[in-house]
Amino acid sequence: MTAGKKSGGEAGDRLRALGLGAASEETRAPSGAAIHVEDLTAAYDKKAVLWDIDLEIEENSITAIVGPNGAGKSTLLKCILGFLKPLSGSVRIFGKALREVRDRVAYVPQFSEVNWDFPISVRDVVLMGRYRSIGWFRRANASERAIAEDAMREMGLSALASRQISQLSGGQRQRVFIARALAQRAELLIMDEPLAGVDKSSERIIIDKIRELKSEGKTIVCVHHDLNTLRSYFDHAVLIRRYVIACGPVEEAASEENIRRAYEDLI
Amino acid sequence: MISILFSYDFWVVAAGTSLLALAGSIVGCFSVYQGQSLVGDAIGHSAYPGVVLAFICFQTRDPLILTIGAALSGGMAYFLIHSLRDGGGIDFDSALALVLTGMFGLGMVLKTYTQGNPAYADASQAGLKNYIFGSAAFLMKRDAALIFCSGALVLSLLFLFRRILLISIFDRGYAKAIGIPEALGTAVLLFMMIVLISVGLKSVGAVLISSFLLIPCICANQHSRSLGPILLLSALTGILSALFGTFLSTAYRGLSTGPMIILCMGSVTLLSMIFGRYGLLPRMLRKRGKEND
Amino acid sequence: MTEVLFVLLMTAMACGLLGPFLVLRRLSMTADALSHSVLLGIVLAFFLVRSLDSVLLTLGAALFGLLTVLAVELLSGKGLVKRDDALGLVFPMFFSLGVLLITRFFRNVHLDIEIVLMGDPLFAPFVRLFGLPRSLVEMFLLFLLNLSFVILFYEPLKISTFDPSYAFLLGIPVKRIFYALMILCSFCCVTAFNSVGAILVISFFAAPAAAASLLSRSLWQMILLTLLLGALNCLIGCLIAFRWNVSISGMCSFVGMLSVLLLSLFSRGGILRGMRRRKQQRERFKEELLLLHLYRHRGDREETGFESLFRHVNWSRRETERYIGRLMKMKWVFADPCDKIYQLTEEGRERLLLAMTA
Repeated sequence: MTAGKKSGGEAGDRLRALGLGAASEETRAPSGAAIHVEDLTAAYDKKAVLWDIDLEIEENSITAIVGPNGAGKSTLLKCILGFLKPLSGSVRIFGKALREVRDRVAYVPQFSEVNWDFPISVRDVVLMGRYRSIGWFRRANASERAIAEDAMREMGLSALASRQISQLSGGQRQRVFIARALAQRAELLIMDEPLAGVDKSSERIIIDKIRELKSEGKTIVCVHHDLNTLRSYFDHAVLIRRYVIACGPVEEAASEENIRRAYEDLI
Repeated sequence: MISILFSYDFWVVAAGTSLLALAGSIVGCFSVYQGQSLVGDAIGHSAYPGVVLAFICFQTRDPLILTIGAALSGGMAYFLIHSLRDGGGIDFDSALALVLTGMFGLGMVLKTYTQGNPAYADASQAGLKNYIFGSAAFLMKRDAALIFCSGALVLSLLFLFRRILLISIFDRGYAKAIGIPEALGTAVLLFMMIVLISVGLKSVGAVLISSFLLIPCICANQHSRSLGPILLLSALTGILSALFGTFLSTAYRGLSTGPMIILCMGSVTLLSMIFGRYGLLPRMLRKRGKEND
Repeated sequence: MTEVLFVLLMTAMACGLLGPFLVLRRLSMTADALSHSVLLGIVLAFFLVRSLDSVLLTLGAALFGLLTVLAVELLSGKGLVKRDDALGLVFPMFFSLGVLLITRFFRNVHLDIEIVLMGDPLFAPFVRLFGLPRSLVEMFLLFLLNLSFVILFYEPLKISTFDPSYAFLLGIPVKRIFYALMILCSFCCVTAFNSVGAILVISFFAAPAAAASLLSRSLWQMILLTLLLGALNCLIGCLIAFRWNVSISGMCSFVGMLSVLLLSLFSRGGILRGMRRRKQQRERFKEELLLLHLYRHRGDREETGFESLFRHVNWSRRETERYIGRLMKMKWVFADPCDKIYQLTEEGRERLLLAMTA
């Protein structure tokens, strides 16, 4: 690392203070990681939102993506799910391109993206999770329906199955979307703020379910807001603030130092 | 008056309008939930210059060719509205009004051009005028056949793409995540809207055709909150209004068919707004019931 | 011919004063609905006064326009339907009723539905008042009315347009201002119905104001520009229409739409400039990203090597080399020949710091 010495100078010091030190080496090979992001930069029209993101999310983990507002958490999810074409870099899921493994990935969207005026029942929403395996044109058969019913029961929604989604509370709605993801029988669940606007009892149900999924060998990635519950709910964390500040087991990644870096106003 | 019910001409017109109402009311529900209710109005008005242009280019009044002209110009209007909004910095509402008036103006320009031009004098002008306010009374068998084919096309498309439409309208993010191209749902819905609007232009007219898509859905919404019943009620409202409206307009001289049907739909909807399950009256009763407890 | 042009110009002026407020408050489609339902107002008023020239007819029909808006606000206010749907329900009904009444009862009266919507300015000079075309006098009066409304209530109009909730806190009667605007709008539609037609009125409201919104920075600028552009649309539309002997109202609306399309393509915030700006922005991001990548992986032979860098940023080799070439020209990056890697210069590091802290 001969170049390390040359990185001195005032600009270098201040770049380091931003948390932009040298990238760690282990993010190189796409090993058995569930999600492997390399040198990802993403931008909307006017501003760059993510800068040179390198990260790896371990298989069979519960990982939180944490950072202040505008840090690019949702953008990172959008890049991972292929909604947004990055300016540079690549994303591998289970070591493959997204389109090869789409059936193994389930997504729980943010509330604001959903059209709540649409008249649709809980059962029909959960059944959407089976659409890829039912096919777009065939009728849903009994076994597909049974999977959807199972998913509803697991999220405590059986009694609400015929209700309209617009009549449910925030926590119940979130459980419906998680049930839909469960019905997909995916190995990787990506959730955009599953605990935002959710009451305590629903939060309990959701967290218990997430832990159970982990014990079944699945991988869960959530955008998360609440720093207080970070350590108790998650075992891994990614701290971002337009670039990666830390990534790894929650105890290390969410250290005082890293959190200060992510949230304090620099300069 | 009952003798009308045994008249062949009545049934040609009634079949045409009620088929149109059936397909329109079902497709309309989806477009309403996508927040496109006024887009239909703009497309309807904008389809008119396409009719006249097709007439000028091909010098025929064949309904199929004029309908294709209408569809193309309606699609163009949609494109203009969206480019004005997305890139041009004009808000959606103004873009709608702008394109609506501009394209309809173009229609008037082209129509007056054919009037002043001796080359088109032989084709009767009344034919083109019909497309503005509609005249179901002049619906020929050929028009009814066109409506039938387009209606069947649209409804089978709707059936094929039902899941894709459902997901794309309800939850765009999830649709993308399971690999549905973002534009697909919108494109299919737009195609269905444009087909129905262009086909209905002759019988209902550019000004009112979009109501065929919108009003039955509003009506159904006063009675139910789940999709199946809403589609069913919406279709019923559409068909019954179309039949009744056509009947009235055949029975009484001087009542145009299109406006009569709209008036029937509208009256049913207003009644539903008062007496429907989610209407004003039950709501007041419920409130009173709560206060009494 | 000149008198026709004057009638149109006066209509454009009267409408142009209200247009900016309608566009900024997103009420153009509401005005469109209003202009359609005014037809029913005219028919009903005609039932009572039995004359198309009476002032009472104008007043009655304009009040009816207000009724439309009230109905829409009532329906959407009760939460029965969304506002757009309420618009789409109310105006077709009123319009249909108007059409039916005309075709059933007034076949022989000069009240042609087509004329109401499309108008025919060529007829305007035939009805005269004080030696001038009647429409010109009416429109002039309406212009004065609108002008005094805008001048007298300029501040409250402005505040309630840009920030209704703040206006409410200040004690400005937001609702009353809205209805005042709507009734003036309704007057414009009624007055215009037998000269230029309802559709053109909407075009005069929306087109110049939308075009002006692309060019202006303040409200008064926008109003002046709207008047100017409205007059220009009229002139061009009229000249073409006279030349080819086609519908004058139609041509003016079409020219109005074209003017907005052209402006939205070529103006400062327009589509073309926007595309170029986005392209430049992307290129700048890509340069900055290369700087950051070289910094973070400084010295890494794989990540920053001549032969492997392009794979890591996932670009084509040619594109990567083009960007590196640019950065080397700026003296932000140099090629280290012995390790076969690219590295940042001190200037490059400063440039990167600037990018990351901006």
